[in-house]
Amino acid sequence: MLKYLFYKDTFFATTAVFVVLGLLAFVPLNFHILDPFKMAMRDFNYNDLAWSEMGKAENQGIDKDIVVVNIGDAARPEIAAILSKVCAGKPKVAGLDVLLEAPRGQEADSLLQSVIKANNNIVLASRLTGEEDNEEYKSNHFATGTTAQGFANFAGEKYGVMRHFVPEREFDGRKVESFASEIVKKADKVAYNELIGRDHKAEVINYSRKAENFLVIDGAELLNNSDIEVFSNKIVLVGYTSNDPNNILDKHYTPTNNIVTGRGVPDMNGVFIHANIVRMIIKGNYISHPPAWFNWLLAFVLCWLHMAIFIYFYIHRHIWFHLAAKAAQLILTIFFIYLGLLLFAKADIQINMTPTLAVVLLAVDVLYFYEAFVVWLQTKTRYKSIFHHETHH
Amino acid sequence: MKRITKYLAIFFVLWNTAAMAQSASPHFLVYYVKGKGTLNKAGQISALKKSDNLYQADKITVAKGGEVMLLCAQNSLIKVTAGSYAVKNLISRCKPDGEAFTAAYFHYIWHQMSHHHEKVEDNPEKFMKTAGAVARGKQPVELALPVDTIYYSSGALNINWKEQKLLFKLYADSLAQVTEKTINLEKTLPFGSVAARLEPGSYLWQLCHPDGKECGSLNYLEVIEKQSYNERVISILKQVIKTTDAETAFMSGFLLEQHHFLAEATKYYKQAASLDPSNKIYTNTYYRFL
Repeated sequence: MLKYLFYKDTFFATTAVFVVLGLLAFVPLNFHILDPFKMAMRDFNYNDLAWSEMGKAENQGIDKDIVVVNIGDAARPEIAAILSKVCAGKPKVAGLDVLLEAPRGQEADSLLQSVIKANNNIVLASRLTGEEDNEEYKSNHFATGTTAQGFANFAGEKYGVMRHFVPEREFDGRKVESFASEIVKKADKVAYNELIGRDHKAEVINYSRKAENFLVIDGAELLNNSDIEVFSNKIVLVGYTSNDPNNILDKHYTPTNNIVTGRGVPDMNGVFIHANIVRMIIKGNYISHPPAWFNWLLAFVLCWLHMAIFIYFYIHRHIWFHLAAKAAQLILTIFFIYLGLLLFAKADIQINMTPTLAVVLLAVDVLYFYEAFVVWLQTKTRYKSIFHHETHH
Repeated sequence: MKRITKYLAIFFVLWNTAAMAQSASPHFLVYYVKGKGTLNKAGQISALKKSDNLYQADKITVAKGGEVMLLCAQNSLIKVTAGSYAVKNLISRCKPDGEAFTAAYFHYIWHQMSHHHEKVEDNPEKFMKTAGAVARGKQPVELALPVDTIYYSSGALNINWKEQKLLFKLYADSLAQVTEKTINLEKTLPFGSVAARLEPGSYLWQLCHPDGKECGSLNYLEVIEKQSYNERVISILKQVIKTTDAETAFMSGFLLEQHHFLAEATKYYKQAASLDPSNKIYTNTYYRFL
């Protein structure tokens, strides 16, 4: 069977698969008839199964570097008191994941203003809003002078699954950084430089912990409790959290959601998503993406192997060809999906298996076409091929 | 063999050219057609209709007495009357940026009529719509209307929410002053009847839970004298592009809402919904105010 790898027909049939794939990609039609299916599968990514089915982010234990403080329904004066207490515990950095975009009067604002002014390790949250051509950067009202602030936006479909974040970007001719990037910049300069050095427009968020794997301190309790040691040398994120599944304030869909299609309710508060991003940056646990050429090369090599096997069966075991080919397609499709998931879940490598799956699924039908084509070619020219009129009789 | 290769190569080039031409962004969307018009796409002729995508290579013809409004990719509008036009020759008529008043509206229309298929990975900056943070300027419930700022003179205006009792607090424009008015409400704040009794000037208001302890953010209300108010409304309405009666009314309402004249916007949305009750965008928009 090995010799079939080196026939020119194997190579040409493999190439034909890619030609057909290229043609299909350029079909200038809009298949709106498939919309119900598309809507059902919208925002589905099979890599999400790594979290929901393969236990990525399970059994990680409580995060030892990041502490979350829940502000609950605290207003600005109470937030100021919570933040003041957090800072008294000497954290590496305290990120205030609250949008404070306008003044609310001297009485409400003065305390918070003075706490922020007195501590240079506080990072404030801002946000980008509006559509692409009239986007607006809503600065934090308390970010004056040297106070750090970063946009709290993630990258994803509106109301969709938050899988990416943008570390930094241009806005109105200046560089603005994300909330998580600004936090890491203060907490771990080396990790921050690595993030910026990667020069990725967006990073896939490698969720390593669910909400229950972070130490969460209730802000109201903190005010009545003098134990602030827990914040010492930690990254503290002050934001809103809720265990109530019906409370969806600042809750978002993440791949850690156990329901991957037709999702029920959002599963993770924004502050925990930031915590996961910060965790990923400081540990350097980025998701690696092989370059596109590697994905296509892999697809080509695997298609070539398939084609050699298919041609062997086509010529020598034709009675078994259909059964063997369909079985191989089914088994190998499942195998490649599993392999892709395994690499993602265990090695943080995200390989785009779509080209591989597509060519494996197309290979059999293209082989039929190729065989008919060369047989016809033989009637017109002296083209030599392993296929001929009686190939499989 | 050579001939086959040649035909295949030609086929490839034609296919890809056609495909790439179709996959690019259109230069115009047809916004309004009065009378008869035709669209010529590479020799294929069809009747020109609303929301058609026009590309550089296309040609349009407008019959005598007809009128066609084209929405430019830059969110401005151009009008063409009877005649034949190559789309590539019309591009220069688009203004570089939409008019300040109308840009948001046409941007909205462009998005309603077209949709992109980009993925987050391709252009993440376009997908940064979700901020993972709470605001401490929130409302106790989700309100049907944007109420941060309201300019008001007269007319009915209701602000609605779903099934919850709330307390309405109205202040003179400094919190240090005594609360002027407190009302218990269920599902609706009859804003018009409250604001109609106020003297011209600036006010702050908020909605709170019934115990009065947990409140939403403070919102701004400016009560304006009738004449000044009318002048401002007229200057906004000057920007409206007149098309069908229903569409003109909807655009009027949209621009007024964008500029915080909610009571005035209500009238136009109502008009649009009654003129074309089959249009769900019109009726759903109006229902927000009921």
